[in-house]
Amino acid sequence: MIELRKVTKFFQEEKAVDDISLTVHKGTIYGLLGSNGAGKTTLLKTLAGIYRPESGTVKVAGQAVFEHPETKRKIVFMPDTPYFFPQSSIRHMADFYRSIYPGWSEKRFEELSIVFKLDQGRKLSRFSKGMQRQAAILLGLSCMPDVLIMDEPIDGLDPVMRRQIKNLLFQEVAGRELTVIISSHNLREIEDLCDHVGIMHGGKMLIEKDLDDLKADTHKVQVAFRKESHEIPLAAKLQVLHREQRGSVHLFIVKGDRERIAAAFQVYEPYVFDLLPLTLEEIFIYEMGDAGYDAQPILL
Amino acid sequence: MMRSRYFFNSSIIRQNLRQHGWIGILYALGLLLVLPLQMFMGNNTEMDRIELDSLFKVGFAGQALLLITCPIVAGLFLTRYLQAKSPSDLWHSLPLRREHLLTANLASGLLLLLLPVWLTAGVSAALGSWSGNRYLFEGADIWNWALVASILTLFLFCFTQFVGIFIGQTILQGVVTCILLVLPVVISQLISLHLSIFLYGYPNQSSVENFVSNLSPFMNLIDLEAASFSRLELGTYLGLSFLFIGLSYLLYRVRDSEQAGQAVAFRYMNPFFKAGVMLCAGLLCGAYFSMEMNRQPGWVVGGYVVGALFGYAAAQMVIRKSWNILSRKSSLEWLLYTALLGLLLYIPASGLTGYEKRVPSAEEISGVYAGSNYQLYTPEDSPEKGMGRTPYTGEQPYSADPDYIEAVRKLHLIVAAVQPENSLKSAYNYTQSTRLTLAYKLDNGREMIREYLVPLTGFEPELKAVMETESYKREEYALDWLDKDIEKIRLSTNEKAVVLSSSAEIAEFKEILTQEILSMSYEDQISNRVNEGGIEVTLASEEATTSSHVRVSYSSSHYYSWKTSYQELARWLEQKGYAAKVRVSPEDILSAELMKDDYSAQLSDGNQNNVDKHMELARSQKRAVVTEDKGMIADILARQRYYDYNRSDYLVLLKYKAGYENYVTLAEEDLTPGLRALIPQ
Repeated sequence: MIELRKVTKFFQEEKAVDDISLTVHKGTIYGLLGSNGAGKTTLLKTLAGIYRPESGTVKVAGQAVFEHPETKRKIVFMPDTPYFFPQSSIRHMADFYRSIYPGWSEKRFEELSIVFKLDQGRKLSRFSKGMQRQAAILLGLSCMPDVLIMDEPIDGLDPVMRRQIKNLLFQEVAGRELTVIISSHNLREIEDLCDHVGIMHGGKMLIEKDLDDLKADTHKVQVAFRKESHEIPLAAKLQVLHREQRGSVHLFIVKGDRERIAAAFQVYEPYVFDLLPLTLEEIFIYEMGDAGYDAQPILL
Repeated sequence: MMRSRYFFNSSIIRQNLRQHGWIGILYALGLLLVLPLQMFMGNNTEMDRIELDSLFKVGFAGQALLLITCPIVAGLFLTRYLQAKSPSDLWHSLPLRREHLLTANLASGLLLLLLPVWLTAGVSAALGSWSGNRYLFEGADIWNWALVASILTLFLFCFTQFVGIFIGQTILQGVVTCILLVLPVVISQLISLHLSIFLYGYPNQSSVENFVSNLSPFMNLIDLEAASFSRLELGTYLGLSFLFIGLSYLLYRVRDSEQAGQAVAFRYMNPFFKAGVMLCAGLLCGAYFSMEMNRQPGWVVGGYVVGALFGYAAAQMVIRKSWNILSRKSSLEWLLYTALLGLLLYIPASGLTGYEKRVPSAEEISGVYAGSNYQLYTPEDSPEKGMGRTPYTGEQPYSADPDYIEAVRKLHLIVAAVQPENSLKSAYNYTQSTRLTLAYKLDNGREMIREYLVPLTGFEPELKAVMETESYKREEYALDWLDKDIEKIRLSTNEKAVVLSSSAEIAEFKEILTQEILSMSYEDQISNRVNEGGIEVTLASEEATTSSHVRVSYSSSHYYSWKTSYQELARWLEQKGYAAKVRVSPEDILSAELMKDDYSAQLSDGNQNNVDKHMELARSQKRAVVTEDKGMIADILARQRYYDYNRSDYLVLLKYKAGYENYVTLAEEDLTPGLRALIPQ
C-alpha cells in the first residue's frame, strides 16, 4: 500500500530523513519509533505529500503522492498538535472536510460522533488538548481514508479514550483494511497496536520488524549449568545477543527457533532452565545494542 | 471531479471569507466613510456645490491610506497559511494542488477587496445625482475612480501575494513588500548619487528625479490627488499584476512548504537577499556620509563599507533568526560579498566603461545644449503645470547650429581630457568656476548628458567659444521668452521699481535687451559686477486647464538681470527717465565702511566666509574706515562687485537709508585714487 524508496529529505543543511526505504502493506498498522529529532515527523509529512523529498520516491497504492490530489484523497494526515481553522467548530470543520474529501461519510461521522460525545457547535479552540485530538480523529476517520498517518496520536489522551481509539483503529483496519502509520517516541504506548515497527535514529531507519516474527524469534533464557564450562560451546552453537551472569545463574538473550534453543540447552542437563518471551522493549534494546547503538536514549 | 471545482474551490473561498472577511468589511466601511459620507457632510444649500474632476480629491489622505494598507494587509493574511507551520501542514496535506490553493486565495482576496471598491463606486454614483450632494461630478469620474482604485488594489494585493511566495515570515513579508514598493525610487537615486560622486561628468541627481519618482507605486499613489493615472500607467499596473500572478504560480510550484517561518523561502535566494540588503544599506549609509561629509569620496566609501557590514549583519540575523551570527565563515562571506558588491559599484564608476572620456563625434550629433538650466526643461504635461510657466517648460533645449556643436564638443573634449577637480574638497584653493550641463541629442535618438564644474581660468578659449554663441545665449538667457506676448516689464532694485506697460515701450525695450544679451562678451557674462537691477518680464495672462482639470488663469514671469555692461539699455532708460527712478543713487546710501581684506589667513575655516568677522577684525585693528562722501559712494556704486571670498581685495559695507546693509567688494583695479587714499593699508 505504502512504498518509500530511498527517500532523502533535507531540512536546511541537515539530512532529516536519510535514504529510507519502507513498505507498509494494506490493512496493517505500522509503528514508527524514535526519539525527538529522529526524523519521524519529517518522514510522515513526506509520506503525506506535504514535503517534497529531495530524492527517492513515495508511492501510495502505486501512485505518487506529492501534488497528486487523486492519491492524497485517500490519505489523511493528523499532525502532532491538531490544527483547526481559527474560530471554527467541529460542525464547521466537518463542512470543510466534506467538501474537500470526496470519500467523506456522513454515516461514519454520525456513528463516531456518538462515540466521542463532543459538543459540535463549540469552538474548537476552547477544547482541551485531548478533546482536540479526539475531534481530529473523529474528522479524520469520517473522511474514510485508505491511509491514516498519525503523528504522536496517543499524547494527551486519557487511558479510557486511548483504549477507545485503539479499538476504533482495529475496527477500521479489520473492517475495511485501513492502513495506519503511527509515530511515537514511546514503545509501550503502541506495542499492542502495531503489526510492524520501525525505529528511526538520526534520520536513518535502524531496524524494521514484523512484531510477531520478533516475538517468536528472540528468547530470554535463564540457566544454571552443572559446569561453568558448558557455557562456552553453547555460545558457539547459538546466536547469542546478550549474556549476563548473576551468581551461578546465567542470562542469555538468544535468537532462533524456540525448540532448537531448548534442545541445545537440554543437552547439558542444567539445574535450572527457563525459556521466556521478551517484551518488545527488551527486544529492541538487545537488537540495537547488537547494532552498536545505546538503545536507552533512543527508546526512552 | 470538475476542474473548475478545484480551481475555484468554493469551500476554500468560503473559509477564507469567514477567516479574513473583516478586512473586506473594514475596507468597505473605510471607503464609504471617506468617499460617499463626505458628500453629505458640510452640506449647505446656499453654498455652491464643489465641482470635482476626480473623486480622489475627496478625503484623499484617507483614501490613500486605505488603498495602500487594505490590499497589503489582505495579501499578508491570505498568504498566512504559507508562513505558519500548522496551517501550512493542513493546507498542503489536503487533496488539492498548489494551483488550486493559490487560485482560491487570489479569488477570495479579490472578492474581499474589489467588492468594497465597487460598492463605494455604486453608492457614490447613486449620490451623484442627488441634489444635496456637496460635490458635483460626472459618471465618467466614478468610472475612472473605480477603475484606478480596482487596478491599484489588484496590483498591491498581487504584489504582496507574490512577495509572500518568496518570504516565509509574515512580518518580514510586510516589511519587504513596503520596501520593494519604494525601492525603485530610492535605489535609483542612491545610485545616481553614487555615480555623481565617483563618475566624472555624471549629471547631478536633480535631472533624473522626475523620471524615477514614477517608478514607485507609493509615490504614484501620493501624486494621485494632483494627477490621475495615464492609460499607460494603468496598463503597466495591470500588466505587472498579471505578471506577479503568473510568477506566483510558477514559484509556488517549487516552493517547499517546510520553509514556513524561514526568512527566505528559497534557499538559493539567500545570497541575493543578503547582497540586496547589503547593497541598499551600503548605499544608504554612503549617502548619509556624503551628506554629512560634503561628498568626500573617502567618507562615502567608508559609508559603503560600514553600511554593508550592518546590512550583512541584519540579513544574517533575519535568515538565522538569531543574534548570534559571528563566525569565521560569516566574516569571510562578508568580505566576499563586500568585494563583489564593491566591484559592482566600482565598474560603472570607473573609467573602464569609457563614460568619462566619451565625447560624441560631430557626425552623430543632431543637437546640442550647454548651459545651467538643463533640468528645467520639463515636458508640458508635468505635474508642475498650472503653477505657472517657465521659459523652459515644453521647450526643447537643443540647437543644431554646427558651429555651436563644434564649440561645445571642443569644450567637452578638453574638460574630459583634463578632468579639472569637481569636488568641494579642494574648496580653499579653488578658482572661480561655472557649472555647465552639456547635453547632446544624438542621431540614434538617444541623449547624452554630462555635467561639469568648469574652472573659469584655464578654459577661457573654449568657454568663450561656447558662451559667445547665439544658440548658447538664446537658451541660457531665455531669449525666446521676450518674443512672446508681453504684458508688462518691471524694473526694480531693492526698494525702487518702475513698470513699463505701453506696448511701444515694451517693444523697444525688449529689442534693446535682446541686442544687449546677444552682444555680451564672455567676460561680461562671467563678470561679478553688481547688477544695476532686475527685470521682470510678465506674459499676458493665460487661461489654462491644470492637470486636475481645474480651469485657472495665471500669469508667468521670468527675471532678467540688468547688467552694468548693458550700456545701450542704460542710455535708453536714462532717456526715458526710468533710470533715475530705479537706480540706486549715492543719496540712497547713508555710509560706506571700507577695509582692505587680507584677513583670510587669520580666520578659522568656518569663518572664512563670514564677512562680519572680517569686518570686526578690521575694526578692532582700526583698519576700517567709514565714509559718507557722496562722490566716494558714487565711485563705489559704479564699481561694486558681488562678494566672493576667493577674490575680495577690499570689503565694503554699504548702509542704506532704508535701514538695511549690504556687503560688496572692490578689486584692486577698481580703486580710484580717492578711494585708495581713504582706505588704511
